[in-house]
Amino acid sequence: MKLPKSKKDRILIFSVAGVVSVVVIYVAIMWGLLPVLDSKQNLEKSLDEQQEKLKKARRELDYAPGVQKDFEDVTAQIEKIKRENVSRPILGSYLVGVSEQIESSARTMGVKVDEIREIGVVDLPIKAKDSALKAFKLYAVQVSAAGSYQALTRFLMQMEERNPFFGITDLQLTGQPDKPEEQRLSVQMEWPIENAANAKEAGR
Amino acid sequence: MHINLIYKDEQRSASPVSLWLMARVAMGSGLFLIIFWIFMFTMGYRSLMHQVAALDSEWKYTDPKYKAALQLRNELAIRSATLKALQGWRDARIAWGGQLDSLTGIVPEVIQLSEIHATHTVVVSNNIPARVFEVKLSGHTSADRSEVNVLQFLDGFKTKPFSQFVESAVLPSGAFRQDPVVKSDRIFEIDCKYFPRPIE
Repeated sequence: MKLPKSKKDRILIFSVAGVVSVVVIYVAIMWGLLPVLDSKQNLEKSLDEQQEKLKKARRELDYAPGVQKDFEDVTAQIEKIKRENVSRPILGSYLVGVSEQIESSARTMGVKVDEIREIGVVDLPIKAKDSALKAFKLYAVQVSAAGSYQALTRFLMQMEERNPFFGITDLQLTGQPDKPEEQRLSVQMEWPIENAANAKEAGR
Repeated sequence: MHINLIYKDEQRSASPVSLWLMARVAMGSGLFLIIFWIFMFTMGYRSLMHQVAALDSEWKYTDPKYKAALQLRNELAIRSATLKALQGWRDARIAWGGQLDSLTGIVPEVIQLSEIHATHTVVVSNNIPARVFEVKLSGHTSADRSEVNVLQFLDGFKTKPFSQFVESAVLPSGAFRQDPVVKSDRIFEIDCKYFPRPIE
């Protein structure tokens, strides 16, 4: 194909060819190259994210044996507390087990127990939001007893040593003018018990 | 004299490298570069797709284990919080047996205690509940050196083990007076406030 002889015609042809070339290049870039580049960029991004996710997962899996060991240790400690320190009902009653403990210690220490009055199940005085202790409640009794100061002291010490979760919230020790060797003790005792409704949440 | 026997548009370059040849070489090189770039791009793209597919496959294998590990960590956090709270609860108590036993060591021989009354309240500060114990001690002593005896008793609360527990031990105003029954004796009351013991 020969170009026209006229300079004007040649300029016209080159102009048209230039415009067509620009349009073709524009279309190729906008609808061909850029989407492909975008797609590759997205793929690279996805690859980076996936790698990051896997790296995090691998790190977590590396820690898993240690976490498992800690979990078993913590669970064992909680189970030990539940087994040894949290009161359990005997035939639906906490009073039976609690009375046995009190009377056994009192007998050993030479304290005369006059009355064990059930106060019942009370909430723990927890105000913190979402406290982990909401899985527990307290079982409280009011005990009246009499004995020498030393006997009453040893009685309370034994109760407290037996169970570090046992608590005394109110205590009144009164001397008796007619019997100076004997004191009267009125004490509110509390034991933790499981709150069945929340036990599952606390990681039972 | 110079006579041009050839028209301008009939003039040809004597150079062996013509403009047209250079243009063709440039176009050829450009085309080659474009094809080479497309080839490299396609290879890179395919390699990326393979890597993504491999990672996807690995993720499918890892994901259940990862979720189980996260679940375990979550369970550990819950149980640790429970254990910590239980230990906090345990540590918040006051062993009254020990306190009563230690009390005998600081009561002067000339003082006779008639009543010990310990009460307990829960106060919340900064959303942290704490147990606060207060003890009221009532007693009497002979009038002779009664002030010295009672002050000596009060000083006992500043010694161990009470100094670790008792925030303040004071004689409230009007709490030191004549015994209405035995006129030669003095009766007194002491209010002890224990340090708050945070529960959690």
